[in-house]
Amino acid sequence: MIAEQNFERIGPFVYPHFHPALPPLREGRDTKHHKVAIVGGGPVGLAVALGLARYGVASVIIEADDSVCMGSRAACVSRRSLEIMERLGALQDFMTKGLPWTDGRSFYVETEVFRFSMPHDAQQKLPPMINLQQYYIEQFLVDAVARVNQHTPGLIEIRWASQVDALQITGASVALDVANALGRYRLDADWVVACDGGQSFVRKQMGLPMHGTGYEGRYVIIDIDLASKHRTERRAWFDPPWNRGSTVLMHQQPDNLWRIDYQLRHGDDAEKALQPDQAAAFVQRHLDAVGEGHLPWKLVWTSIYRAGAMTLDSYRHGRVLFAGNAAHALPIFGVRGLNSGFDDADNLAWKLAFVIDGKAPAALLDSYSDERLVAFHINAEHAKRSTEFMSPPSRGFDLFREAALSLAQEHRDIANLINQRQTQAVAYRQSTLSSASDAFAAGPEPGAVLIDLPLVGEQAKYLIETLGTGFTLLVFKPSGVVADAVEAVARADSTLNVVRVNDARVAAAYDATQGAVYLVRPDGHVAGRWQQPDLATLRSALARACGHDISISNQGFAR
Amino acid sequence: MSALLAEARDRLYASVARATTEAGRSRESLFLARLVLLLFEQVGDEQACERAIANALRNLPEPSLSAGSDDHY
Repeated sequence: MIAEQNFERIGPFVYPHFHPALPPLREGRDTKHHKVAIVGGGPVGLAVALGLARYGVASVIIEADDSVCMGSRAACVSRRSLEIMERLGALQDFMTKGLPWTDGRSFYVETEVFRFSMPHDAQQKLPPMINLQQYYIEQFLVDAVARVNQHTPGLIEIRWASQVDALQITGASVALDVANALGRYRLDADWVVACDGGQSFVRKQMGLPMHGTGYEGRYVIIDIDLASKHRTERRAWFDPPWNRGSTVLMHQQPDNLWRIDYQLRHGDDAEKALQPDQAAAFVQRHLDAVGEGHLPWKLVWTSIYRAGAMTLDSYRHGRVLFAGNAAHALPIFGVRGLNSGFDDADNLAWKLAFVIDGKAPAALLDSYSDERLVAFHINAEHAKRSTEFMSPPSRGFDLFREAALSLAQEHRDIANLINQRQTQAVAYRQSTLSSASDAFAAGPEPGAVLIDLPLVGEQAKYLIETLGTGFTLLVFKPSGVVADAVEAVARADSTLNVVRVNDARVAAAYDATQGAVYLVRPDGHVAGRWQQPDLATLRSALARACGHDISISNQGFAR
Repeated sequence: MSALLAEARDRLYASVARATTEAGRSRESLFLARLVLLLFEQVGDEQACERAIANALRNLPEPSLSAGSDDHY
């Protein structure tokens, strides 16, 4: 729920305004038949379009607003999402503007009781998290779209300030009615990807219910412009003297923008809390308490947040696919919202492109739904624990939170209960796309994402950079049968990307002895690994990873 | 089967009762909750802790006599 606020600029960020337009029409119909229409030009919709563009698949995005989003909204981008941004050609902007961080501290009353540090190895290319306002995230993706179009004109078309207001599904395509200030028209597409957010029009129009848990707790989100020199870390204050019985979070974003979130107590009036004088009084009280009350500041954006973990039962309904908040909602704590949306886009783009290119059966798209539903449930379970702690849903949770917080300083095991459990890459352990594999003592198992490491003496500097648009085989010093098998599958599929890894550190991290092979999907998830695979093993694993062999292992995947 | 000797059980019973009184009516829930968290760590056995939670909740007397006033102490 975002309060109505409109800006021309926030700090140095100036909102661009894009004009609505009408495409060439014949009898009120777009003369062009589209392969893919994406409803919603938020970060997930843009990521889907950019992902498809890597395969040369054209798409049209229909976006209701005439600009990027108002307010900072989703402001934490995970390492996994940054890997996806790299594939989409947007990483550099994210890294230049974003603020990387690894750790956080939690206080109870006035004492520090917990410190967390997200896993980070100095060898890793990307930080575990950066903070970046969603308007920058969207702008950088729009910029990436412009670069794509510079290279291949018209590959991604964004139709701004245009609203889909009806949808009709026929057997072979989907018709969308689009309205804007200049008129209305009908648009036909083979595939529709609904990325139209929590209030998804497409979802409602199709009558698809969301299921899950809503939580009672509410948080006020306040962004302020504050010239603080405090380092980029996440701070949380539980039951602080300046806001007894509540929780306050504080986070730095670029451009001296600081986000302060605070928990509304039972009976607190949300409307009142959002009044500028109320919000300002709270902020001043908080800044005074953390020793920054002398700094000048101003209110930039406010919003109210209520947690929920809800999902559609399936993310594929024939020719309509759902991604991001249109498919599922996740509580804010642990930042799984937008980050899981980027994972949706990354999972969907290659599969949809393969299906459109005729390289895979449409059933491959069912694996998108299956895998991302599993990810939702894993994410929801973690987010539920965070939410129950950050926003206790009942007296029992309130009581035990106080018990845990008050013991945390002296009892480090109990202090772990305070951990907000930041998002981490999800593994699709039972994926129908994975093949039976050999035992390895280390390295990513089938369904898990690649562990990125530097490559010494290779052309690419990091392992993750070696991934292409097709499947990748990581091969470790193959000879004989394995070398012949790799050569044969590579000859049969020109998009197959064979990466010969000689780096000893990578080999150790992947427990790869001579002849070991990892099959990696375009989204970085491992689809199989073997010590000495033969041609038949590699062939059938590649077929299965394209969705050709799904019926055999379908059992046991349902959650 | 309990590893506690009868005398030890008696002593612990009295000890936790005295400590609960010392915590006082307004903080007894918090005191008992802290005790539970500390004992979980000591027991270190999830299923044993779950059994204890279930046993404590089963046949919980209604109304609880201890919910009354403490004027008579």
